[in-house]
Amino acid sequence: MNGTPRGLNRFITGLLGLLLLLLGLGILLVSLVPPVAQAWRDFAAPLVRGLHGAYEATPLPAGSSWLYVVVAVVLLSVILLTIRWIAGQGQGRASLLVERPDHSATDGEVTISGNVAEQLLRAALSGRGDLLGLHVVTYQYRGITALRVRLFPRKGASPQKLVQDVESLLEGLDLMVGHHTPVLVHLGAGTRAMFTREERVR
Amino acid sequence: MTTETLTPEDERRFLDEILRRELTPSRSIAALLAGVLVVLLCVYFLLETILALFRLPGWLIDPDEALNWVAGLPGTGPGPVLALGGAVLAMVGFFFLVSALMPGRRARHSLPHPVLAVVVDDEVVASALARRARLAANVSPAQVMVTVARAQVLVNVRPTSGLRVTDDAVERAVTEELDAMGLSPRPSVTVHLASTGVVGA
Repeated sequence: MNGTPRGLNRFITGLLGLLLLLLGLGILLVSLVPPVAQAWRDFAAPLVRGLHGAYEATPLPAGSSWLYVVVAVVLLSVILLTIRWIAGQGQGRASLLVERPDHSATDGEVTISGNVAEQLLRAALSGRGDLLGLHVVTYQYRGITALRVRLFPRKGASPQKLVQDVESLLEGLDLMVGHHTPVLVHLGAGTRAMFTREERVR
Repeated sequence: MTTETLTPEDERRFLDEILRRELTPSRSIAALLAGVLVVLLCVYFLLETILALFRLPGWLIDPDEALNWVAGLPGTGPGPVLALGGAVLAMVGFFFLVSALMPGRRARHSLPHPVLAVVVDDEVVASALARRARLAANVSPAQVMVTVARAQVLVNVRPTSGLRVTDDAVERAVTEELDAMGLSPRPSVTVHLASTGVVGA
């Protein structure tokens, strides 16, 4: 439920994969099949000669050739764009659950922290034997504020019962906060569930 | 920025999209690897380019010499090493391509709900089903193993020696629990009773 750019991830990794695959297969062919190697050399020699010509034709007083400046700028922009793309993975956490103007006589607006939801759910669910832990995170996805409730049930706990109880608690939260929030409930198997026994008595 | 309340239809559409994202992998690890690879390569090329710009000797190889070497492949070096390098590159490329093109699936099921978006890890489903199967077969937890895949639940039971267990009873119990859960898509149940029992369990 975060802002990871999934379409972009698939496109860029796919493009990079295709390029590497073609490059690798090309090297494989050139190194193993002599006719292909000859064809490659015949194809590449004029290109390299052309590049050397371009290099000689573009002198720079302080350095060698301003073609290198162009290459450096292109490389630098590729680096910056890649870093920006990687930094966008997993973004989208928000801290406020509610933020709205208050139409009363007093100035100001109403903000409610996402921690309120976490504290309320934690307090309400603390006595349960079939639950080992929970995390509540507020996310902002497509401009909509939503809650992600992660529950870690004990081994053997019935998921539908937990979901039922959490739903009624969330209704209470909506009433308390005075605002309805979309919620994702995720029942996960954490490492703690692996090392604890099933609940024997209820 | 203000938080507004959505209409029920908009909220359902929003939750459905979130569900779809929760059930498929984000490929962020492949993306991270690809990004690191691209940045490292570009930083190295940038270094060599700037050295060549100021007529300094290259760090590992001069761009001029590198171009000549590429154009003269396979050159005089050991052929098998070059071929191996090509094969490794092609394999790395294949890995990225497959991770981008395959539809992919996380080990989770969605649990349809009128107002929430609910996803359950397959391990959680398996442990709940194992508990029911264990109670139905009257065996200890170590004698039951449940695997949950997208469309199939496989229940393996090793009965206690001397106590009669029918796979019908186990299957009925597990199916009942699955019905109560209401997973989507609903997996089919296969029960497998081991032919040998456990002594003294």
